[in-house]
Amino acid sequence: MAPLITLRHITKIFDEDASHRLVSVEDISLDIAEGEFFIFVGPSGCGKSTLLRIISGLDPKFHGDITISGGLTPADFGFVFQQFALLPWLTVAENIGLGLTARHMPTADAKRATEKELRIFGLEKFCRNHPHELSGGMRQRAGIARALATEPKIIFMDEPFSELDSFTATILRKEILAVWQERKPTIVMVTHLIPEALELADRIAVLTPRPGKIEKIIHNSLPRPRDPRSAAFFRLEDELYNLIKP
Amino acid sequence: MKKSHHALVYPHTSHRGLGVYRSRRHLAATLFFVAVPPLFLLLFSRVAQVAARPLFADFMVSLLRLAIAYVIAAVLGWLLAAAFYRGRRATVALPVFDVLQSFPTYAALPIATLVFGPSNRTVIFFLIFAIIWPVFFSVVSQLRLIRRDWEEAVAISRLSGIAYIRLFLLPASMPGLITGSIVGLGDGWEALVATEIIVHVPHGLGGFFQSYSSHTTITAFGILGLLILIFSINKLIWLPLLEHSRILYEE
Repeated sequence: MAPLITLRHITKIFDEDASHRLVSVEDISLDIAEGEFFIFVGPSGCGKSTLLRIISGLDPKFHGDITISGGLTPADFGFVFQQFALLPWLTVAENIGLGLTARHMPTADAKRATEKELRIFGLEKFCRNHPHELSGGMRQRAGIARALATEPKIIFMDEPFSELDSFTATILRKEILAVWQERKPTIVMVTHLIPEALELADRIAVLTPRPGKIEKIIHNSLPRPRDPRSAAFFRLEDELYNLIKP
Repeated sequence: MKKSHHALVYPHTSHRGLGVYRSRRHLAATLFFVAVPPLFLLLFSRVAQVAARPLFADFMVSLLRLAIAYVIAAVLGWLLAAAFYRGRRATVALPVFDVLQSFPTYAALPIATLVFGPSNRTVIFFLIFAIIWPVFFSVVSQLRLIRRDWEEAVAISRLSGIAYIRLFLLPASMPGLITGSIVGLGDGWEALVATEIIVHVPHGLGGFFQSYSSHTTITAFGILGLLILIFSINKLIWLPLLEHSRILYEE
């Protein structure tokens, strides 16, 4: 099957002035298939968030080529942020409907689409509340609901669970998996947690410390639902730990 | 930042609407601040033996000049701030605006009088320059607080045009716009009376203050009245707005 996302020789250099030239990611080439759950892992500072912003079009300044096939445009992208990035002056419902408003969707349709996401993520009670009145878990649910409301074909997630307590993160990982299996988007995610990557991903790209290059791409064919206490899980976890250099 | 009791008492209600005026005590205080300036004016006209009606008319003319100048300055100041708050444009433009701001505005007054004559336009033109800088710099510093991931979320949602301003840029600038307005209007009141006196414009508080300038008590009471009015307007309009926008800005 032809890949949905093709990256060729992606390099990002931060050069605010000539003396401070910082290579963030270097020569990244890989393919991501349609419907795949693809995760980048690596030590902090390896440029994985930068890479995600490049692929999603948020950062247009880079070297190399990105091809997105299937006639997809940036309007088909959703993004889940590490710190939720909800606009504090909008209600939860208004935040979730942001992309629908921007697409000039008729009000009744936008309302229906927003209500659907509110229901799925258990946010109906909070629809008129503002983000600061919500717990972290509820805020990230709203963040995920906002990313999904426009029915995106590709969803980018930048460490989406790292600001949450581990209990909430466990529940939200299950919810993300359910959404992925039901709506079948392509998900490209970044994390620094190996067990999290193993629980979710089809394939895991391990990045080296700065400048971030691809150390290895691991196929994770563990059967779903995955048991994080199984021997096979631990074997893969060990393999990944040995690959990642701090 | 002061946390409003409102958020604690009504955790599941929206902060929109007139929630800040909900308690009886607040209503009483509001009525007090509404009533005090007219009562003072009436009392003052009795004591100073000035006819209340022309005084009130003078006052309304001045207030109208200030209001028009404020609206123009706020819109212009906000647009300038939205255009120049970041990026390469900001590094070039902000120092220029900083120099412009420090230019003594009163030096422009003779030129304005020469162009427009002793008219409403001169006063309003001049007031705009008094009000626009606090608004501009306050909105710029507020917009610079916009978090990068908010901008990214807005970019991913593909918000643009009017919706971008209405849902993102305007609310993101609101606390700054309000603080800038409070400072700008303070400067505006000060400049208003002075300008009216210097330009010799017919009607307005400037004329009033000038004709009683030798009468210290009346002048003092007039200034006191102005202070009461500014304080009332701040208490009634600006501070609740500021509190409201701060609650909405809270994360």
